[in-house]
Amino acid sequence: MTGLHQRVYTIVGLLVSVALLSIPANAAGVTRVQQSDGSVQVYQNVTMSLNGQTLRLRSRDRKGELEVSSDACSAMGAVQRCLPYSTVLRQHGQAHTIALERGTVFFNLSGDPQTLRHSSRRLGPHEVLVLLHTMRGTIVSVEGTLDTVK
Amino acid sequence: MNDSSKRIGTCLALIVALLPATAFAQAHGGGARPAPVSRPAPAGFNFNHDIAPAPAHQTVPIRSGAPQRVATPERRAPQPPNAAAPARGNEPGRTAYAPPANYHRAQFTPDQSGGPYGGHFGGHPIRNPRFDGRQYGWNNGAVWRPAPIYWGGGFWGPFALADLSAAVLFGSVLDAENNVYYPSYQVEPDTPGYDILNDYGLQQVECGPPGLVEIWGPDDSVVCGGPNDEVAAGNYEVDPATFSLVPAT
Repeated sequence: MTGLHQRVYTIVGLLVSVALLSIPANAAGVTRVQQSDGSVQVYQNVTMSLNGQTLRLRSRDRKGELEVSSDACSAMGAVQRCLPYSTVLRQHGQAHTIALERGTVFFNLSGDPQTLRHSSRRLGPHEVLVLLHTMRGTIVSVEGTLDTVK
Repeated sequence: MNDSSKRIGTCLALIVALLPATAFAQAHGGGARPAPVSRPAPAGFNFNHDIAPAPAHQTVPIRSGAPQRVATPERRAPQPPNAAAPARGNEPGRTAYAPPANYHRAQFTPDQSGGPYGGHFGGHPIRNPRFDGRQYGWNNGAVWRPAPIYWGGGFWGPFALADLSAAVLFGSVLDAENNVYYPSYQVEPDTPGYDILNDYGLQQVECGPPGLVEIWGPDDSVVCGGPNDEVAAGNYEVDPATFSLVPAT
């Protein structure tokens, strides 16, 4: 094997590693953050986990985690609708409380697709739909399938 | 170029093609949807507007309707409902039974219920005709807890305390002893509050006139209904566990 080949194989190996490590397993959540100045950031491959009624969203680069706590959960058929009341952003070694004005969280914790009441929107098995309005005018939407449920 | 080099080249091309396009999209703050203003995405999530400290001269904007004052902490004996409520239906933005001008809005108190009647709901519960009394059976067994930033904890609808102007004011209940009033709002469909009114065959009406069924929900919220064969006029508290009404004594 020539030196050139060895270098190429090394590069190939590195690229494969990057491809495999860059996305957490099954992370398919999409988070859209529109701030009051009109700027929009769309975050793909967000990892979503649910612990009780707390939803945790972890950015693809694993550097940011958004924790959304909800209550007032009521069943609408197989879909659970909750009202978020607290959002905490943890990143760069700090925790920031983001003041929420209002929002809604829909969970389909069943194994079958469900249609939201009064809507044509369908939620797949273990799919989540979130809409948040912060006190400073930021609108956050989240959709995707839960990676873990505790 | 020999075969080996060709294979390596093909392999490299495949890997680059397989790398997630989203990785590049996210790195540039883009994605499938158009971004009005595109900025380089920082690591993690970008909430710079929300986490920046508020300027000294400016507080976080809270729209009208948010709780403004602290209610008297003491509990009072039940009073006749709305004995002193004058009708002021001609005022813009007011309902027919708006509170007198010298009354202040009572604070929405988390974990309290009943307003001036709090602590006096000791009557025999009127069992919900649709449920057997099993704890949270109405909610598929899941415990229902109020969410603190919504009027009534979200029991009657997703009415944000910070923006109650978006809700339809539906009269109020007065506490004449403390000169405070408890506003009521129109209940939204597909909520526990809407369901419990339906369960008892109650039609929501504007709070204010005497002789109504006054139902106190979580966090000192209240809605009113016309009495019927099932529920007589008076004050009741919702028991969220059994989804039943407990009368004041």
